[in-house]
Amino acid sequence: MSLFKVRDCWSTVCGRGETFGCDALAVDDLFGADEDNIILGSLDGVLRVYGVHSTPPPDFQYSPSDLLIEVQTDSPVLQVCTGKLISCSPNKNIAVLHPFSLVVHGVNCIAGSTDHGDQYVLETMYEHKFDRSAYQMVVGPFGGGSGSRDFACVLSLDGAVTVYEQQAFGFRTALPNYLHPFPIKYVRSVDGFITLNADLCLVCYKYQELADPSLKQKWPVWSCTLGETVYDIQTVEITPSATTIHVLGERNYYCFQGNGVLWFMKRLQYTPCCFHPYILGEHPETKTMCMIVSDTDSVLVYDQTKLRWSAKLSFHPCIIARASFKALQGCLVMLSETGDLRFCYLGTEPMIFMAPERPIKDYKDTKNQLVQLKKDLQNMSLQDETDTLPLLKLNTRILNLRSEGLGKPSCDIEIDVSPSLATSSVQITFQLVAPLVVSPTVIHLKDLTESITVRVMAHRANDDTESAVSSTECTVCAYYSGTSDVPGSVQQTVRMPLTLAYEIHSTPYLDFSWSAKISVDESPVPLKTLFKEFADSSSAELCFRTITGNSKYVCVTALPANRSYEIRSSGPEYTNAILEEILFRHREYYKTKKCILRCDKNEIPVADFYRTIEEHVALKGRLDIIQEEISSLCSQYRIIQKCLFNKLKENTVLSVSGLNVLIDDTHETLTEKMSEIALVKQELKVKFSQLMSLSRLLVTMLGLCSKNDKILEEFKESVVHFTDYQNWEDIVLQSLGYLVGNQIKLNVQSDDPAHVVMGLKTLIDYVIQHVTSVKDELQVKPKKDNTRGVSPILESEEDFYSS
Amino acid sequence: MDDTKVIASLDTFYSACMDLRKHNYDKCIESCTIILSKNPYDQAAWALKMRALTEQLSIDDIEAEEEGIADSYFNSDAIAENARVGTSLRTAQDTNNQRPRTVGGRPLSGIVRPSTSSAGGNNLQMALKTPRTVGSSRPLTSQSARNIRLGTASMVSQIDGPFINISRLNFPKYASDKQLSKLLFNYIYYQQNDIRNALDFAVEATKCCNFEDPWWKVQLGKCYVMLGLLRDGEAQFRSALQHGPNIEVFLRLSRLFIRLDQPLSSLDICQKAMSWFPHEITLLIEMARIFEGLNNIPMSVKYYRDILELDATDMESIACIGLHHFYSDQPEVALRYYRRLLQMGLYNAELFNNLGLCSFYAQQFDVVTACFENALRLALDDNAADVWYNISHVAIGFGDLDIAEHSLHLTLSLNSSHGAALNNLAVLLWRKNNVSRAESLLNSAIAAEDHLYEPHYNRALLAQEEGDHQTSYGMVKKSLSIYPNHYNSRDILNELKKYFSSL
Repeated sequence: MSLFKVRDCWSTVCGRGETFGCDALAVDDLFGADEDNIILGSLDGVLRVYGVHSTPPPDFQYSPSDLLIEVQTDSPVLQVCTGKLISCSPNKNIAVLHPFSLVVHGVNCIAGSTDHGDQYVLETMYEHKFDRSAYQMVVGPFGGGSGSRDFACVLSLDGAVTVYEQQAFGFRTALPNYLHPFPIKYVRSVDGFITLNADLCLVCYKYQELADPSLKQKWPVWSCTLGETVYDIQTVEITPSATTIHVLGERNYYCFQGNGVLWFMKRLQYTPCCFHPYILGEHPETKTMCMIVSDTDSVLVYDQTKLRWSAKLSFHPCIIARASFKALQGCLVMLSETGDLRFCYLGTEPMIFMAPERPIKDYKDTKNQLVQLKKDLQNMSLQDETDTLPLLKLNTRILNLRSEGLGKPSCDIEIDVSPSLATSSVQITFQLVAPLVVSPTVIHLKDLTESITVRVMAHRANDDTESAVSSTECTVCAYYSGTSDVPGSVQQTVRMPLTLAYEIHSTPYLDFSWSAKISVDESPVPLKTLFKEFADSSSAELCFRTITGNSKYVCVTALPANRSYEIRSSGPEYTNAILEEILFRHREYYKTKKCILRCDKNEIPVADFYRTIEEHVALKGRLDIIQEEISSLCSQYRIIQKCLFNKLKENTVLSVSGLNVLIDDTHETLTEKMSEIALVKQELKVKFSQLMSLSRLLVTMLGLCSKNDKILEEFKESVVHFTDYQNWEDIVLQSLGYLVGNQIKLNVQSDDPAHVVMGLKTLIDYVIQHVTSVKDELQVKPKKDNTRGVSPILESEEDFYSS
Repeated sequence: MDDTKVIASLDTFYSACMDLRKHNYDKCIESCTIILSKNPYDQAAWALKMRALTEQLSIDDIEAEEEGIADSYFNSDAIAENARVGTSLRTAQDTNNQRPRTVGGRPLSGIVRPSTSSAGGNNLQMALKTPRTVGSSRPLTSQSARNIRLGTASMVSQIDGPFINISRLNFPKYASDKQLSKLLFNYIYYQQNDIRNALDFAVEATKCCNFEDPWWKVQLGKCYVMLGLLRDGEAQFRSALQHGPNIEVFLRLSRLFIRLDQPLSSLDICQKAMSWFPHEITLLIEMARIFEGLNNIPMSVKYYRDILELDATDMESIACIGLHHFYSDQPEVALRYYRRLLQMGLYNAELFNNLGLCSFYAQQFDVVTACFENALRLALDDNAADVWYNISHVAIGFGDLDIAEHSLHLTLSLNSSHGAALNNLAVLLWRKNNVSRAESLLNSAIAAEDHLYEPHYNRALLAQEEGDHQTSYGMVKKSLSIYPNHYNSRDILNELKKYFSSL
C-alpha cells in the first residue's frame, strides 16, 4: 500500500515452469545499435535473446517480435556473459556456461525484406568442454591489453579456476582456502580476480599470479576480512584504470576501490536479495549508484550511502539489472525465479486499496439510537439488585391413577427437576395431609447437572382406613445447595385427584346430617363440566362416597335457579376436600371473569368443630391415662421380676408360685392395655384427621364469607398447620391468644384441658366474629370475666390477661 | 523440449548453492541432506547445510537486544550510584513535563523499540510493574536464559535428529580449520544458541589464529556480552577496533555502554565512528536514541532530521519527529509527518490514532472521525484502550461530556489500570457532583500509576475542598515531588501551610 511503486511497462513470461539461476541474465548491446539486448539462460537449457523494438511509452509493451532468439540446449544454462570472444570479429558474442562446457555463440542478423522479417540466428563459434562441474564464469580482458580480446575464466564447484584464451586453453589452477563457491569477478584496474574465500575474507588475486604455474602457493594482492558471507560481487568501471568493487554481504554493502581500499560501506537494516551498481554521468562527475532489492520486495536506490528512492515491487526478483533502450533509457530489468521478466520504471500507482467505505448513515437515526442507549444505560445502572432466579425448577405432574385391590387407589407423581446451574445436593420432600402419604417420602439427589425426572407414588396410608381426608393438596418442596453453599428452596403445590379418597356412588343417600349452600354471582358451573371425570349423565347431582371402612356420603348439587351449589353430607368433616375442589374448579372455569362465591356464616359448622375438639381432647386424656397405667404396670412387672430373681438366687425351697401368679397377672393386664392403647391411638388419629378436616373447612368457609382477610390469614396460619408431636390445642391457644392480644380476657392459664377448650372456644368465636363482620358492626364488648381460677404457681401473673 | 530431463542433470551441489543465494533455505537443506546421505564426509555440503540452517534463523541481534527485568534490576555493573545530572539513562531528569509518561516513568517515545520497555528505576516495585509486553506477552526475564528473537522463532525440525552434536565436536580440530571455523561458530551461536560452547570455540579459534583475526575478537566480545561479562566484552571489542574501523563493532560497543548506563561514553563511541563513516544511518539512530533517553529532545530531533536527509524512508525518525512536533504545539507539522508514514504504506491502529489526534488539534475536523474509526477497526484490545482514551479527549474538546464519559468507561473496560483515564473520569464525575465516585476513582488512579502527578494534585484538591487537610497535604507533597514546578500544587501547599500554622 505504499505510494511508491514500481510500474512495469514491458513484461513477459519466459517459458513455462522454467527455473532461473542468479547469474542467468546479461544486458549488453549485441548489435552496436545503441540499444541493449537481454540475454537469458534458464536452468532448463533454454537460451533466449530479447531486443525491444517498441515505441516509446505509453505504448511500450511486449510484442512477440521482441523475442529475437530462443534456442533449447541440452544442458542447463548456468550463466550468460557477453564479450569480444572471437579474435577476428569486433562484435560481441555470447558466452554460455553449462555445467560441463563453455559455449561461445555469435548472433547474426539476417535482414528480411520487410520490416518485421528480420531473422536472428544463433551460431555456435566454439566450445570448451571440461570435466569439473562449473559454478560461475568471468569474461574480461585478462592480462592487461587493450581490451579488444576477451578471455573467459570458469570457476568450478571445487575451487578450480580455468582460463580459456578465446579458442585456446589457458591454464588451470586452484584457489587457496576454498570451501564454497562465492561470486568471482574480474577487476580491470589491477588485473585481478576478486572473490570471497572460506575464511570470509575478500581476496584479490592477480591474474599473473594465478597464471604462473611455478608458484605453489598463491597469495592475494590484498585481502579484507568481511566476516560475513557474500551474496554478490559486481565491478563497475568508472574509467579503465579505476574500477570499483561492490560487494553485497549479508547485512552490509561495501564498496572498495580497485586497490583494496574501502571507499564506503553501509550497514543495511534489512536482508538484501540482489543488487546492481551502476554509474550515472560522465567522468569526473560520475555518481555511483546502486539498486538493492530487499527481502521484503522493495527496491532501494542509493547514491553511495544516501537513499534516493525506494519503491515497492509487486513480485520477488532474483536478478535486477539496468538497461537502456531507444524508447526508454535506464529502466529496471528484473527477473524472477520462475521466469517473469519485466522492464519497470519507478513510479507510483494510485491507491487501489481504499479503506472500506463507511456506510452513509442517517445521522438522525444514529442520534435517536444514542439517546435510546443512554436511557437504557441509566435504567440498567439503577437496577442494582437483580432478581436471583431460583436455581431449580420443578415441574410436577400427576400421572396414572390406579387401584391395587379394592379400596386402595394410588397415583403417581412425576417431578421434573431442572437445575439452571450445577447443584450439589438436592432433597425433595412431600407434604401431604394424613392419611395420604407419598412413598418414598424423601428423595436425595447428589450432583445435579441436568434435569431428571423423579417418580413417587401417593396413596392412602396402609393402616389408616378410617381417617378423613381433609385436603388433596400436596406440596413438593425441593431444598438445594448450590456451588457456593448458599442453600435455597423451591416449592410447588399440586392437587391430587379426588379419586384417591372418593368414589362415585350412584344412589343418593338421603340421610344427610349437614349441608351448606354456596351462592354464586352468576350461574354455577354445571356438574357435568365441573367434574368432568365423574359425571357421566347430565344429572344435576353428584354423590361421592368416601373410600373408607364405613362410607360417608357427600352429595353435590348445582342449582342454577338458585345460583348456588349445595353440598350435603353425612358429616362435615368429610366435605372439605370436595368443597375445596369445587371452589378450585369453579375458579378455574371462571378464570377470566370474577365470579365470587359466598356462603352464609351461619352455616359454618362451628359447633361440630368445638365438639370435635372436645372429643379430641378427651381421647388424648384417655390416651394419657392408659399410658400412665401402662408405665405403672411396667414398673410393677419389673419389681416382681426382681423379687423373683432374688428369690431364685437365694435358692431356698420356698415356693415362688405367688410371685408367678403375680407376674402372669401383670403380664396379662399389660397386654390388654397395649391392645387398648393401640386402639386408642388409632381412634386418636382418626379424630385428629377429622379435626384437621373441620378446621380446614372452617377456614375455607370463612374465606368465602370473610370481610377481613388479614385476620383470616393469620387465623389460617395458626390453625392449619402440620404437627406431629406437639399438642394441637395448646399451640392454637397460644397463637390465637397472641393474635387476639388484649382484646379478650381469658381465664388464667391452667393445664386443665377443659379450660383449654373453653379458651379455644372463646378465641375462635372472637376471631370468627371479627373475620365475618366489618369493623364498625362490632360492638366492643369487653367481657369482664370475674371467675378466677386458683392456681398457686402463677399467682404473680394474676393480671396477665386483664384488659 | 524435454525440460525436466535437462534440469535434472544439474549438479545437486550447484542447485543447493543457488537456492541459498535465492534464500530458498528449505530446498537448500534438502539438497544438502541428499548429498550427505550419499557421501557423509562431503565437507562442503556439510558446511553449506550449516550455513543454510544458520541463515534461516539469523536476526539482527544488535537491534533485537532486550534487557530482561532480572538483568536490569540485579545489574551490579552500574558504576555511579549518584550520577551527575545528564550522565545516566536511569536517572534522567525531565526538563519539561509536556510529554506523557509511560508506565515505566519514561517519557513517551515515538516508536516502540525492544528496549523501550525495560524496567525503569532501581525500585523492585517499579521493576515488577513493567509491562511485560512489547507487542506480545513474552515475559521479560533474564536474557542469558534464552535468546529472544524478533522474528518468528520457528524450530527447525530436523528429521534425522540434531544435525550436529555439539558436545561431541572436537573443538581444537575445527577451530584451527580456517575453512570451517567461522561457519561453525555462527551455527553454534545463532542456530543452537549455545553460548558457552560458542565461547569455548571462539577462544580456541582465537588462539589458533594468533589473536590476529579481528572477527574472532568480535565474536568473543559477543559471547561475553551475552553471558553478562560486559567489561570483558568491551575489552574484546576495543581490541578488534584496533585492526580497523568496523560499523558493527562500534554499534556493539555503543550498546554495551548503554547497558552499563554510561550514555556519554556511548555517545563518544558513536562520534568516533561517525568520523570514519560519516553518513552511516545506524550510528545516527543510536545517537538519536541516546539523546532521547537522556531527555535531550532537541538534539535527538536534530539527529533524526539528519537521518531523514540520508534516508527519507526511515519510519523511526519520521515517527519521533512527528511526536516532537505534536508535543511542541505544532500539530499541523506533525500531521504532515504522520501522513508521510501513511503514504509509505504503514497501516495500523496507532498511526490512525495519531492522525486523528493531529487532525483534531490542527482543526481539520472532517477527517477526525474517519481516522478514529479506522483506528478502532484495526485496534487490538491493548491499543483500543488508548484509542478510546484519545477519543474522550476529542469529545471533551467538542464539548460533549457524555460521550467523553462513555469513552472513558470503555477505556477502563479494556484496561482497568489506565491511570489517565481514571483521573479524567474522576474529574468529569466531579463536575457532575458525584464526589464519592470521583474520590474512589482518584484513589484507583494513584494506585495504578504512581508516576502521574495529576491524580495526586486532583486528590489533594478534592481533599482540601472536603476539609481533609491531612490527606491533601500528603497528596500535594507527592505531586510536587513528581513535578516540582506545578504552580497549582504549590498554591495548595502554601494555603495548607497557612492553615496548619494558624492552628
